[in-house]
Amino acid sequence: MSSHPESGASAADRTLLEARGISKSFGGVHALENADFSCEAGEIHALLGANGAGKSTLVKVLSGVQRADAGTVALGGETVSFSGPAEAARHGVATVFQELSLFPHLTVAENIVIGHQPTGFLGQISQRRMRAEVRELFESLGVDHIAPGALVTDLSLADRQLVEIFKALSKKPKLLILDEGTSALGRKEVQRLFDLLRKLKAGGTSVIFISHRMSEIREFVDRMTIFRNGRHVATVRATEASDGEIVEMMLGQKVERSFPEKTRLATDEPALLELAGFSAGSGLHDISFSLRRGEVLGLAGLEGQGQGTLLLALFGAYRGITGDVTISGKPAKVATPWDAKASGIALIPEDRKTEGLVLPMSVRENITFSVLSRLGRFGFVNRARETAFVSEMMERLAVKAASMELPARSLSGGNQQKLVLAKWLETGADIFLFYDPTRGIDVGTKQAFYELIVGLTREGKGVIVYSTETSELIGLCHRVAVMDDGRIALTLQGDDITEQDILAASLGVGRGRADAGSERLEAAQ
Amino acid sequence: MNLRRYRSSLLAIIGLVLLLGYYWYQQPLILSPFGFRLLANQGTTLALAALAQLTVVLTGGVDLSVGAIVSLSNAIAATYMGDSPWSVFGVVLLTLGAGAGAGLVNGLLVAYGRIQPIIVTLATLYIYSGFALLIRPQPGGSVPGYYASTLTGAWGWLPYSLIVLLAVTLAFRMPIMRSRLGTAIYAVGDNPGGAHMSGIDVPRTLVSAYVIGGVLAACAGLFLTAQTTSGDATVGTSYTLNSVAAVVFGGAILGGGRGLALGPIVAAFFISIIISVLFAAGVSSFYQSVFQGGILILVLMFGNAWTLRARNRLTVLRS
Repeated sequence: MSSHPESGASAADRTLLEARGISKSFGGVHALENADFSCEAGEIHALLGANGAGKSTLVKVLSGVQRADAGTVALGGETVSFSGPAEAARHGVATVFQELSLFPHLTVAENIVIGHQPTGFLGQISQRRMRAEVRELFESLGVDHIAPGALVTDLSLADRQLVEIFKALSKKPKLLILDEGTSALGRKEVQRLFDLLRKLKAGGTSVIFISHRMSEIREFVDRMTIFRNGRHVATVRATEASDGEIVEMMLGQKVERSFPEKTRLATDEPALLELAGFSAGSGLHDISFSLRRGEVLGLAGLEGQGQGTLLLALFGAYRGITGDVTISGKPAKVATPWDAKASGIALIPEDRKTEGLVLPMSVRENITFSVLSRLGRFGFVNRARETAFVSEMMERLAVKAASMELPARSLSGGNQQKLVLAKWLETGADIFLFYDPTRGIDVGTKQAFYELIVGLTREGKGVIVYSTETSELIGLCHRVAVMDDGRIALTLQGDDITEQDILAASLGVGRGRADAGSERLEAAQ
Repeated sequence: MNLRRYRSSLLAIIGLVLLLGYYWYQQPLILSPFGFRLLANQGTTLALAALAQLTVVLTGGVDLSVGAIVSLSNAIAATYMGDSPWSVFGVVLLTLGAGAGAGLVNGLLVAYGRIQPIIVTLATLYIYSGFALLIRPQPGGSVPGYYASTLTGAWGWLPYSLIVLLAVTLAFRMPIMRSRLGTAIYAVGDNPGGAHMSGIDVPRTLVSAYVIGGVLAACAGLFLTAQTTSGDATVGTSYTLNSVAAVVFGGAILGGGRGLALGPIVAAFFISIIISVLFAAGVSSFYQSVFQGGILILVLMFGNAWTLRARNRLTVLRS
């Protein structure tokens, strides 16, 4: 246990949560091995670690979703053993889970107060008081764009994540755990959330925060605990260690987070994909650009400015699209995903769990879905060829799975993402659309993904990537199109792609357009 | 109040209105206190059975034993009910208790036995049918006349059956569905893993839903007994699948989490009345079930047409 030098005698009574010697294994694999973790009252504590470090398992143990095989958890000095999340909640532990625990067909308000709805005569839920309670919560975080009566299924991923956070907050917890709780949120929302968490902290609530966006959380957490391979490595003050040192502790070896060199573009290369006046309903207006072979085009901008719509529309997932699409000089039709696939367009979607993979089916089946016809004859699949193909793919993408017969569900997020990519690599696609590909995956896997994207461009493929991480766009893209309200506001190229320029264009400020900017900022509030 | 939720019931309502319009054109007599009472009585048993089915379907399950519980209730009521009001009262309670017990067994097996609902209720379908046969090996028995007329009679244009249906829906089912348990039933069907993580006692919610389903199925059996005034251990058979059809036609989703009482009730009347309409239209009784099934398929296809109108196909795939 690496306790802190300045935390002497007073630390014991300030400690809210003390987990000691926690072990948990799944089918012989140790997710947690004799792990320790402690959190003080009224602190914001980041829990860091690469994929498979045991963060999520620790969270599940602390929140009562899973029982530890060994070890003790003490809350406020009293040893607890939660029988389930309900009991954890009664002890003041509320968790925002990585997999959303929302109910798509209940309303926002019903989701948030579920289990402790205000009731009146005969246990009847008071809709009025329920909505009022939720509105009050929303106001505390300055959220006014979500209607308490809306169905969750109609919300964007970012809004759903907000609802999930409010759901935990509504329990008025002593300890709030956020497991990747901000991965889909835009900058402004994250900032608001941080402000609120600071308020909670001032009121004595402790927060355990898990996020891969290290630069983002650094400034607002008090301490950080680093896990590696199911064990506690170190607990440090946020100001004490540099990013490099933390990454080093996470990975156990010194790695630079660097981007592979961008593919050099031939100047006379004809366009691979050209869009002219591409529009879709109210979400996209008059998008025109061209993409060359070997090029990575980035889509930036505030959350929900049409980046996702553009990718989905290009993949034929929307109806009522107007404008011209030209692929390799020929007019192309992308009215359905089948058309898109036939035209050589591949989409690695946002929500890999519902759109990219069939989770209960095996790794093998998920990889070969889109190429089955080429792996056999007369409608029968040649099993030997299929197996060889899958092993080759898994090796090429470094998919970590004990067997290709395991269900896709059992893989980590990063590896699931690789499966989605594997599915497409061999369909002969030329144009790859990535929808926030590294959301919620760890640094090491991200690195592998960057290599993959650049590898695609070396093979002469064209890539369009939408990412909420600006540094990724800067590191990977030849050009970045900043989107605003369904339009391309500005396209940056080469050395002009900087964090400042992207942000400025996202907000509609700077570059001599300050007049439009103030208006935009207001609209964005 | 979220009006969009009621859109799922619209198909059944339109269907019933069109069907009644056609029936009235064929048989103007139905627009009379007598005809109205007949129509109301015809659909009430299935409407109650559909409510039973809906409660279970909302959790993501299905209750194939609904028909058997209807038969069992009919057998109990027609065999044990005496002439005195106290006997009627006692036997009604006994029947409701039997329904609750049958639902409890279903629920316990599903929630704690971790067996698929369709398997559990297929097995208990046989068991409850067996009990019904033990109680009433041959058709027969009786109920007091005032019991029958109280449930199936009418006061002018107002059939008592509709009052019974409304009372069961508004005074029994609705308060439950508007309590925390009701939200939990929807939540468990919508996202079982999420329900557990949200601190909902999933097994207890499942058991409760099956018990409520059992009680509602017993209500259906009690009403049916008032209609037939005798007992028959196989009388409920058709209610199992018809209740599933009514629930689906009424806009509920078989995967769970979505559906309101209004749609299935209306759909139950549609399905019940369609047989009479076919008869009135001169369709031979040999073809009736063929037509009945065909009409259901047509109607459901029409109903799905508007989900396909969604702008983003992915939202259709998701739902």
